[in-house]
Amino acid sequence: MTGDAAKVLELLPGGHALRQEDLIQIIADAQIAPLPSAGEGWIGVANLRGNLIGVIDLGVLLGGAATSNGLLVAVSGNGLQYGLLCEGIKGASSLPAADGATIRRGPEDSDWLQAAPPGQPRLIDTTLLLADPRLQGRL
Amino acid sequence: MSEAFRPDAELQRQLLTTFAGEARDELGVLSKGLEALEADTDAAIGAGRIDEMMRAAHSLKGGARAIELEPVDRIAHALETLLDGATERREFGAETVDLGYRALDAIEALVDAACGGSAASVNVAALCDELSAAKSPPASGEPTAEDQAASIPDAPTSAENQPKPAQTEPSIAADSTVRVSVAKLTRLVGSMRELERARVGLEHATGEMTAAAEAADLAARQYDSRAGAIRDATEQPLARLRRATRELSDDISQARTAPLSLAFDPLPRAVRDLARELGRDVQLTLSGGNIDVDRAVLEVIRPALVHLIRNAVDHGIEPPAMRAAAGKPEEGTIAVSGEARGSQLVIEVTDDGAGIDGEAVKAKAKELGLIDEQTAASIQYSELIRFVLRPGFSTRDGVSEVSGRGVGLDAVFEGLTAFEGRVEVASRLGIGTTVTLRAPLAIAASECIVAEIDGHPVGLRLSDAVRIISLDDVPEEMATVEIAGTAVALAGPAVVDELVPAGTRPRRFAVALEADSRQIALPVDEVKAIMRLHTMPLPPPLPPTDLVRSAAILPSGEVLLLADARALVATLPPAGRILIAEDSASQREWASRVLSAAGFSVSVTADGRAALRELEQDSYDGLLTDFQMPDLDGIELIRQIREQKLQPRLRIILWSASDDVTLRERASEAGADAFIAKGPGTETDILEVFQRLLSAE
Repeated sequence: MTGDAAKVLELLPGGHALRQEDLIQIIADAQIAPLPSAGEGWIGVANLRGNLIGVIDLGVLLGGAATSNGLLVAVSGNGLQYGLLCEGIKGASSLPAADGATIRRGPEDSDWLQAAPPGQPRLIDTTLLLADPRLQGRL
Repeated sequence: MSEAFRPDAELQRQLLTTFAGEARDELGVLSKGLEALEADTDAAIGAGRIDEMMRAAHSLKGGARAIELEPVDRIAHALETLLDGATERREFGAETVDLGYRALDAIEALVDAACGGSAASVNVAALCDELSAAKSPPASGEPTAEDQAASIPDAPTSAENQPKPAQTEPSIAADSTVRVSVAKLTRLVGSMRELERARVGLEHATGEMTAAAEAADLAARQYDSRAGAIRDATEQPLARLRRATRELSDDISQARTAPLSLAFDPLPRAVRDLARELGRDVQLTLSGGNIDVDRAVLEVIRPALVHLIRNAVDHGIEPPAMRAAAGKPEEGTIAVSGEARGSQLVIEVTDDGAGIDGEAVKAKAKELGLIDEQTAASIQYSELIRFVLRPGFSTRDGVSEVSGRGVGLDAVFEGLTAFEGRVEVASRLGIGTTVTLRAPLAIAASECIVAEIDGHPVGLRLSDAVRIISLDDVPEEMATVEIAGTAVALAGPAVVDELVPAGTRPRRFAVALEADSRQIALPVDEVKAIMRLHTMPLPPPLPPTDLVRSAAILPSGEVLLLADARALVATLPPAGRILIAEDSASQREWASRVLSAAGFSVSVTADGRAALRELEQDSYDGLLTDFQMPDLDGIELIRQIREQKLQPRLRIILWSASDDVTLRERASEAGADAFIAKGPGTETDILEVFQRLLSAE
């Protein structure tokens, strides 16, 4: 039995999506203060409604080039707020509920990126993403 | 039959978070209760105390049941049963108190595990059995009338038969407080600051608009009416907005405060458990618990105090027999006192224990490579004991379960740094140790310098700044700048690169900063402003960085990262070890102070012969020698050092009141690396030359 469809926000670069419930705010023209020493995945700090959030470059985390002139998507994961800098938003859609058959963890990928059937975006787990070794700072 | 309500995962998480907050409070009540019960074992247990504990256990049970946290439900129930027994027995022995504490620990572990989505290793069944077994019938005789009056019926075994709480629990209407998470309050503060920024922006825009109208050279008749209308239309709403934001700001700031006693709560238990485990006799006194402190500061202070207290019991307070042998009372004392001094919270943790063993610290510092033999020989005790604040520093040979891990004190320091807090340690061998924590009472705005490097704003705390200087006349290749007659090292490009992605082009200004008695100058392109800003620690999950630990939001909404002066100074290379040979006591003292202030480790001798002996025995990086000295003058001293090939890497400066060419030539021929004439600017010269000579190594 499957439950309700999951509402997601599809991001660019294409093929990736966030659960709508993890989304806090989309910030266009966000000013990000760069913090070069924060570690590979973090690019800096931004202002979210008067509070600070760390910002991750999604493009870099997905193995691509650094994102320039991107869109900042503020999300929550594991009770913490942070920003994902992506190229843009493709749109909102609904996915079948994650019942283990249609969406499952992809062993070949990062733990935080869930595998999906062809044609469907892969969901970003905003909690597991924070455990990515590239976000743990310099040792 | 209707289907049971099943919250979805997100709702369950929220419920769990709310319950965790409530559980902390209830566990605190129970812990305090156990503490009081143990202290009063010989007296009758007050019904009020037991009532309070019963209510707490009952609330825990109800809350756990509501979110289906069955193990907590079972333990809380068993605890209730145990407490019920205590009212009947008039006695609650140490073993039972221990059992009670273990139950509290288990509940805490279970709640933490549930919040973290993990499993806790708690044998719930065994613990519940122990709690049940600990409840025994009255030891002797019938209960007194007073006992009966104070007793509470046996705890029921099913939810339907729960004691009626209406008589003892406050109604919702009577309880005029609402639980708000610190995270929500923090977000509220952020929104409030956004509102303030919007207000400032609006005021600015209105001012601009009025000025523009005035400058537009409108016909006088039109101007009067239009400008007046603009002012009327904006002044009153702006005044209301100004007042409202100020009041809102005050109210929210007040809502974020809580009494310091919240940070004291875990201390009696920590002392009790550890003292018992280590066989110490310790009395703990607490004062200043009524001071209102920002919750964010409390969150840092609370674990810090627990750590300091454990250190005091483990490392400070001696075993009773040892204390008696030293002529001290067998019972040691630890005093934790909080005091509000202006806007600062000052907490002192003082013990009358053994003090910090300087020799043990020295040995460990040498083992860890923090100091060499030479430094160890000359280092002052007050300097030495600061090593205990370093990461990974412990004088214990092995890792103990108590406080020998060598972690924590540095963490205490790190946590406070984000709030401009400080940790100081003072100790006297055999007398005791005092650790002082300083932190702001409220996260207030602080004065910040807003500078710019390659278009990126960089913040510096004004309190760390010594001077802002122009670099226009400083040659590009210079590694130091002169500030008030002292050579101050300029932060290099690698350091600046850690702050912002910067190029290598020359900078126009430098901001000299001071921390730990050392100075460093940060090159910047512009100094844009000095303004009061609310600074915040870097937000988790962003990992802390070496040079940036806090930030603020500028009126434009832009984030200003604040460079940490202490961390910047720590990037300076170790300054080296200098021997001073000078027969004039005042000049010897002066040179020693100048070099020490710049981070050098300094030893002094009063004549050339003594200097030679010192160099034969000990290793130095540099020698500063006077020319005219009794017995062996400076030139002869240098000649003998070089002839004997004593310390070939030793850098030598001859300084003399006589500045003639011949002396300079003689010094050079003897083997001096530099000559400095005593007089104005000598201080800068000495530092600059030593820094240059030693950095060329």
